[in-house]
Amino acid sequence: MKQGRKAYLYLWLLLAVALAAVCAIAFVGEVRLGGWEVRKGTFREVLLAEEKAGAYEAEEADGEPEQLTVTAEADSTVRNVLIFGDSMTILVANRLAAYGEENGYKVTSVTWDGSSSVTWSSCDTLDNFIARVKPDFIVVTLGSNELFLKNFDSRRPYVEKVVAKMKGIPFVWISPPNWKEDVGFNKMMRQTLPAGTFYDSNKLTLARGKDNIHPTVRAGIEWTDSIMSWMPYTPHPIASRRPTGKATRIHDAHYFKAGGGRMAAPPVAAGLDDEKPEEASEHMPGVATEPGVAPEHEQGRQTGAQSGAKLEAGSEPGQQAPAAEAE
Amino acid sequence: MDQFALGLKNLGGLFTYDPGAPMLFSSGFFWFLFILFLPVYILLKGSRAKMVLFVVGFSLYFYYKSSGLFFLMLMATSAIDWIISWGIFRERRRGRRLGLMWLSIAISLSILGYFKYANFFLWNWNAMVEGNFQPLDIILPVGISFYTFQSISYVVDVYKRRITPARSWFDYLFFLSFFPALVAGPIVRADYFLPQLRKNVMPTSAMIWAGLWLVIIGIAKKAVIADYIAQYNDLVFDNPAVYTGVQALMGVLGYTMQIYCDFSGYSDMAIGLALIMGFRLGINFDSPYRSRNLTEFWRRWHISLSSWLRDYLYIPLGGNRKGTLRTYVNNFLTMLIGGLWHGAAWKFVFWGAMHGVGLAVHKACRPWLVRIPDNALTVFCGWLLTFVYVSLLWVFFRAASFEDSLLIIRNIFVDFEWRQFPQFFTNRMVWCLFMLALIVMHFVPQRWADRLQDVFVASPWVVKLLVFLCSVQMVIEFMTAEVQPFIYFQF
Repeated sequence: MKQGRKAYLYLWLLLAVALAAVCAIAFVGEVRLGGWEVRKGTFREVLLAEEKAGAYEAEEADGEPEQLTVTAEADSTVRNVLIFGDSMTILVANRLAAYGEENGYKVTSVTWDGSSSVTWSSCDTLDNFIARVKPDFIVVTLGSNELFLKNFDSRRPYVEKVVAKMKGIPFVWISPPNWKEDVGFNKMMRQTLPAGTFYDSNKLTLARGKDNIHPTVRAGIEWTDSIMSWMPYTPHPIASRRPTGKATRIHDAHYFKAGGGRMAAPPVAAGLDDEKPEEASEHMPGVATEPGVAPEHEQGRQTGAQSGAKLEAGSEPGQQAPAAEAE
Repeated sequence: MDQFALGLKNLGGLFTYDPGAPMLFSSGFFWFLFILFLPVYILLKGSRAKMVLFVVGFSLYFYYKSSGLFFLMLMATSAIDWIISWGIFRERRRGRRLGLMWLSIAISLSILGYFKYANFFLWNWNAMVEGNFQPLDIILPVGISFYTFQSISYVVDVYKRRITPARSWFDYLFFLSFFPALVAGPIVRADYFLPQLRKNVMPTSAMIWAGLWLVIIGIAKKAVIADYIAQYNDLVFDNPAVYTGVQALMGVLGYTMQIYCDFSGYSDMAIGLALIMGFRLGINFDSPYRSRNLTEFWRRWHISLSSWLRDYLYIPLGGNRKGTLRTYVNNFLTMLIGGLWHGAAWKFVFWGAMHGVGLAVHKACRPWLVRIPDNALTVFCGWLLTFVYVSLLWVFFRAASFEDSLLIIRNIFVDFEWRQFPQFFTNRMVWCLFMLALIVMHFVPQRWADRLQDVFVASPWVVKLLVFLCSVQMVIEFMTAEVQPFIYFQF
């Protein structure tokens, strides 16, 4: 019996010391072992999480704080929501699907890694999905790949064309979650889009994944919760009762990768490029998002809500997966 | 100071029930709670009554964290079963004893049926009569399938006089609510567990450290491996139409290993925790993918469930005592119900039925199979056939619909190109290495695994600490942002 009690004491010490060590690492700064950064547990996040109730702050185009007023009741007839955009889309779509489950609408997500306003305005992918999904409401998550353009004004006509393609379907446009200050792109977007439809994600502080750009899945949940707490103040809000469960499945999710794959995206119109290298001041570093594998920067498993099939860039014989390309 | 107050407030919040964050063994909060639990348990271990009360309280709190107020239902059903078990024990007349046993079983199955199968039944009924179906708003209490089967086995064993009823209600509640096994098994037998409770032996040092080793192995299997490989598998199963044959095949193989790691990992944690507390729960998985035939598979996979089905369903139905045809029918029905136990959906029924068919075919072919010489080639063929059959049936278990299942299988056979493999390996190197490691580990001799455990148990405390820390850090490195439930949690 003594031997057992002694072993229990050592076991308890082991568990306590290990927990203390893991907690300590979670609260100190960066910890490195050689060249490898030790990843921290979520103890700090869990213990110091603050209740985020509509943590939305934004400035009007003239620098004055945005005045939030409820202009319309939530449209309870919305049954189909389409969310489309670049690689940030899935981070919103996952949680939006849970809102859909809670509030009675179906969410369809279309992700096109590396896309921008130029991409979506220059082909009929959006038209096809609108015809197929017949959405009552659209959420746009675009801008990450053109965020740091010096000549951001040149994107205005493409943004307007994307809006025109939505043919009057109520929408909101979610700005990219800046990982550093942009030079005016978000301001241009706010000026271009209809009043009240632009959500400025810039004010949020979001935990980032390993690429330091894409938010983590948990941060994506916070991001979406903040978007939905802003929803009542939009011109055509949808129901935004906060879900209590986990994210659930997105229906009919599809993913297109430009330039190839089994379900090739419609060709980009000749003469238009995503990024003109001489004009881009900076773009989101390329991450080889190999189809079928959750990219390293995506912290979460894509359970339930899916970004859809990530197509095999190299599934066509002889094709090479791009080592790095602008997302 | 503000942060300290916030931390305390949030810590307090963790103690309350959160439907979005059920209590799991691999969570930091459970680790914290166990550190609080252990010293009190050690102090009370010498006094059986106090120890029982304390563990029952902790187990009910554990269940509250998993399922909210349903812990009250667990207490109520356990009280009913215990009272009835004493009624059975004291009653001399066979007819009344039988009646009481069936009363207890009917109550247990009614509760299970309502929570788990009511909407399934309503949906099917309305499909038949073309009615206007409104699903009932029912929340499934976590682990109800497991503890219901435990309570049924207890009452039947009392009826058959294999065991005497638990002396006190708290002893029975201890058995039914024992937190390591409560929410996802193993399904513990009263005749195996209650004597251990009566003896209340202090575990040896070897048991305690062996228990910790099992917990570490379980964490590695579940929270590192299963969760990581699931990232790819989920993509394939949730959008089967857009994946090639090679991708679909790897998704199927991935899920085959995922469900094993997930469930056996959880079982390892449960068995390890119980061992730390001085209780043995019995082995639940015995390298099932080594099986050479389906009968062997079901002796190695989810052993506590398959043995329960054998003892409380197959044998009472007649087993193999009523002729060959009846043996096949009994086998089939047992597996059908086993499939339905997994979930209220036709896909689970189909899965169980196909296993029943496979078992029946194996039994029918046995007279010829025994004539085949046992050499490397025949062993390999038997293994391959069994593995392929089991893996293909997992597709139906996991896929969202029957159509999706057929699509995945069709893609494997119709849209398959060998030359896609190198690209697949290049694109998913880590995933493939994990799978390779899993397959290798599955086939190492058991004595190697036992030897490794012995080395851990005999190692210095500092080495044990480092191994534990490394396993925890591996979990954190591969962690997904949300807690991933165990696959069998939903049952």
